[in-house]
Amino acid sequence: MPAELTQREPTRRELTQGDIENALNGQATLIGQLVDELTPIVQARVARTLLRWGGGRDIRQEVEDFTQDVFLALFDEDGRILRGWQPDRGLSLQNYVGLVAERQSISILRSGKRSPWKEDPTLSDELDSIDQRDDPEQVAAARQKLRLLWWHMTEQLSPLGRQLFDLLFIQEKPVEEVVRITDMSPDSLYAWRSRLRRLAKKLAKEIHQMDEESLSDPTRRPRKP
Amino acid sequence: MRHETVKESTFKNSPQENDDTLLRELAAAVRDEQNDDNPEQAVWLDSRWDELAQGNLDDAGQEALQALAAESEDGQKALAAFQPLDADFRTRLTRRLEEKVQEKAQPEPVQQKPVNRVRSGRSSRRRFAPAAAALVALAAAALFFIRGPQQAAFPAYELEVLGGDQATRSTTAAATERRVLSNGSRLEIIARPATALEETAEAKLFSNGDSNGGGDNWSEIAVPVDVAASGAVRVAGEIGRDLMLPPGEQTLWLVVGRPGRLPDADVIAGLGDRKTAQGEGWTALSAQVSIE
Repeated sequence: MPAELTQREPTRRELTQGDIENALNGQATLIGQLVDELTPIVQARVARTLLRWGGGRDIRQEVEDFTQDVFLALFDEDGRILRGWQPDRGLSLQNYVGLVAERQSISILRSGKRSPWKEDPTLSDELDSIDQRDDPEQVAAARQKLRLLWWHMTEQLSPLGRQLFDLLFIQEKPVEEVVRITDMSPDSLYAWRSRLRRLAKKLAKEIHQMDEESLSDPTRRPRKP
Repeated sequence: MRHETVKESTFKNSPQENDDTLLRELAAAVRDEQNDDNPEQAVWLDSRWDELAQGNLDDAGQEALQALAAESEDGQKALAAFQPLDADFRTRLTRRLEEKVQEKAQPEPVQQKPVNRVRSGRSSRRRFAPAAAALVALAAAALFFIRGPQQAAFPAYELEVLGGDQATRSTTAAATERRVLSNGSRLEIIARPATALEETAEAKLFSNGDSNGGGDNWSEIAVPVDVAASGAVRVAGEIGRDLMLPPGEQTLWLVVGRPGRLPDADVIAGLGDRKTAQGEGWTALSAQVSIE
């Protein structure tokens, strides 16, 4: 969950879009500066994703590996994702990259390319054990589903989508204020809200169906989210 | 996360869930987890871990986190996960990224031969840069004159819904009661501007459709819409004959605005369960109906 999204992350120097452009054009000092400034942000998001979803036996090594993977993803395709940062949309570079880090971490875990669960309990087992340990059955089931929903939402939403979810629903800001913060038109925001709702409903339906199938066939485990 | 409020039905795509309920519950869960007073808050949500990763945490903070780590396995993992990635790691990462950028910069074989052409292309772009800039300026000026000065906001409207078993009129520009109608019932929706319009307007009616579709099948309803010179809008017709609305509870949005500026169904779907909305050059008002 985006605990960090609502709080301002410390900055040592404000990097600009021009700095990013120059870094992607090979200016070594700026690449180093990007790494220095963004590593703690990426590390913290990666660490929370791994801690939330169980992590492996050597979490320190995983944090390093995932952090590197996030940076490589930022620089992929001539820095397409990095170039996607638009300061006038209201997200700092740190928060933008933080959202990318969360999404990328979840994507890596889902793809299994670097799964910390290869020799450990599956994610579903982890969640099951948490639920059985802590809460009554129904609350645990709802909690698990909301976590799964948040997991899928985090993976599928762009940084802008995440930002809008945070502003409109978590912070419950009125549309007029979100318009001012993001410099987007009200029409675009309404369309985004519609998209968010459709996505959430679609994913919730899939999670519910997955759960039903699992109940009707106890040998079938829910897909690793 | 504590989710005593979350309903299992939320995940079953119940026909009644035609608003932002799911997103709100999800957001509430996120807020709940972020709440520092939540005794179930995971140890690694403590914001001091971020300061540790930044290398900014003072001695007292570090001691506090070590004490926290000693209390649980999660805490120990967090302590390992948030220890700052050191200079060696950053140097290696920087080199790897430099290599990646260099790989991109390596010209492909097919691009190596026409190096001169590429250069001459660049110089020709430079040569034409002033002309291009002038064209851009000209286009910008033309755009300014085409758009003209920014138009004033479209005025607010008041909605009146007549027909069926309940009548309602709202002074706050929104109908709040659900009207119960059946085939053959007459429905009349009237929207009046707060001040007479001095411009032309058009209007459309949208519905979220058959409740069996989860209340999310937003579309424009083909219905005769009268727009008076004052800007007042009237939609009237007989259910099942002039107004083809499926059975069940549904939300109607009447949208009035400048010609060509009315939002599409996707935008309407995003208005949620509010009663009125205002966009760029349009105003929308909602009404609840139930077709039996």
